[in-house]
Amino acid sequence: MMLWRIEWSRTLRQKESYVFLFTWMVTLVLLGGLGQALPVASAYTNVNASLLTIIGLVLPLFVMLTTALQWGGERESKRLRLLTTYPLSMFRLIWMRYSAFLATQALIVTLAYALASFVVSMPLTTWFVLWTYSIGLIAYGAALGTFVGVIGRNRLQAVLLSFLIWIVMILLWPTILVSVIAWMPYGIQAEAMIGALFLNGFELLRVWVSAVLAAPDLFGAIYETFIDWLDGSIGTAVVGFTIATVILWMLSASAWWLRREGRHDSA
Amino acid sequence: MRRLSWLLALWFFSPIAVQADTEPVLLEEPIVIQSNETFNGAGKRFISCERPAFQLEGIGAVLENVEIEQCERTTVPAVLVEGLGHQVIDARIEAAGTGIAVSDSHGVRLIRPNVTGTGRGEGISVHNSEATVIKGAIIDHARDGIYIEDGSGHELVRPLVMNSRYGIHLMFPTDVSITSPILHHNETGAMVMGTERVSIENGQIHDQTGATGMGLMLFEAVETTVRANAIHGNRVGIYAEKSEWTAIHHNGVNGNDIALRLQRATGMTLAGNDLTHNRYPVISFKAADNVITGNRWGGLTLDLTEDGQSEIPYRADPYLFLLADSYEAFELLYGAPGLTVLERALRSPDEVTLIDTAPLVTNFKFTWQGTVGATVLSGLLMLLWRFGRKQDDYL
Repeated sequence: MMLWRIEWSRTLRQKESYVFLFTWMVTLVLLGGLGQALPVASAYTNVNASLLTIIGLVLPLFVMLTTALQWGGERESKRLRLLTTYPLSMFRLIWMRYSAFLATQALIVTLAYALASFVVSMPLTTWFVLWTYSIGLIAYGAALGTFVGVIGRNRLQAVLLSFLIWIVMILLWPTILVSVIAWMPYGIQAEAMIGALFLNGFELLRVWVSAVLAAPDLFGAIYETFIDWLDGSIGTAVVGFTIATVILWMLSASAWWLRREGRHDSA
Repeated sequence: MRRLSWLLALWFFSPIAVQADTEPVLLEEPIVIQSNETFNGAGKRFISCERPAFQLEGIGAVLENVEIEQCERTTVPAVLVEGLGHQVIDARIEAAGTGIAVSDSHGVRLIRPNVTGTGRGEGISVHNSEATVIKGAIIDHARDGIYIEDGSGHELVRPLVMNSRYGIHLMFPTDVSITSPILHHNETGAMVMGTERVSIENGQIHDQTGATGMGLMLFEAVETTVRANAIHGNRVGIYAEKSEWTAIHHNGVNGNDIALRLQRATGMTLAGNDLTHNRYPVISFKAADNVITGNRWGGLTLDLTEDGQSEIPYRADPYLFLLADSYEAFELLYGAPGLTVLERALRSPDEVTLIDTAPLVTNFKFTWQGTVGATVLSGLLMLLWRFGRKQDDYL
């Protein structure tokens, strides 16, 4: 617990934290202010959709780059090698740093949402769902960033790798799906699209949050049953379980990598 | 004693007489109202099965204040109107077939008709007639609320149609004026096909349901005017296909999945509409030679000259529509950040893109929304941050 508190204070002191806070506040206030200027407020509007798109685009990049940079820096300054000699389980070390980072980011995002709510009017449920979406993206992105930062040999490699992952999982993902699924028989295309959601946590979270905020026919009649299910308690639990499993797997893989390096060094 | 006997007899028989007045009248033959005759039903209820309950013929017949109930599986209309200048006033109909059928008529006035159907027949149907006036119609659960085929010069004022296939269905009439319609929870609010000079104004067209869920559909309609309507909560707000010289102006089309869907629509004028708060403001495909200016789209705007119009034009790229139209499964990609980028990268040529050269500027508006909860939460988080920083590093 002591180590966790030290790590927590270290992440809170970083200048990036203030940049994050400023960025989220500006994004939320600008888009929210735009929505407020308009007369109709439905549950799922283009303002909410823009918020989802911007959060889904920028947050994974920021979080992955920051975590990968942190771990790359540890490696470059040889502190990672030193850490592997400590009488501390590697998973515990990874988990401690990951959870401290997550707690810091959760604090920053929550503060940004709370401050933005002074000038932006949205239903409490919408705020809560957007906040949950942000926390989910941070948790998933930080796990990916941790893994990439641990396997990267230096900061530059870690940053390049996380940027590459962001390009594939966010920017190129629709292009990849369009290219692959267009070749499949028409009858299984929708099922393939649903299956592909579980390969990309960012997309799974986006569709889940859209399902919660919007009507079931948001993605057309073909997905009405699926979106209805996703909006329910079982769907939400399945999404949560999937994201948590991937995060734990990433952290375990990072710990395994560090342990392997420790063995190599001692040999 | 004799007087008392008379009074007792009067008391004894009078309730029976009242009872007879309120009992429904079963009609085996239609009541035919001829020229210049008036039939005032005084609220009496009539039941008809295989024939219409009332038939208006000749010139200037009036039917007023009646309640009509049709037997199940009746296919004929409850009220049949043919001729010149007839009036049906305050008719309340529970219809299995069509409520009121007007055919080969001129200047017929239907005032406050109220039709509740079973979804099998039309609420009101007007065939091959001229200058029909329908005021204050209330229609629920019909196939088409108001169906008008051929003819011209019809006037619909304040029709309220709900839970039907089409709220208003126009097939080939000309010069039709629809004022203040309220059309909701139908499959399509108003279907306008093969018409000329139809105007729809000051209406509330919202929450159409089902796979189509369209507010207004214009198909091969010429010179249609859609003005000052509130169109919201539909799957598609206004759909125009193969329609020419349509003027869509000063409408509020908000909160729909797609506000405007234009396909092979030419010579249109789109001006002064508020198209914000929709999932997609417009999907345009092979729509050309249109005048589009001064609409509010909710996109990126920049007003350097401070005239309320943006110097950045609004472009509606059909990429997403074309993609989902070919492969329905890709609808799941709507709103994906990567697709937004892809849309920017793969820009469609200008001839298939709808461009508003001077969209209205969307202003930011901030009003204080602070609450005690948000203030307390912000304060606590700042304190947590402040005290969380105070620790020593361990390496």
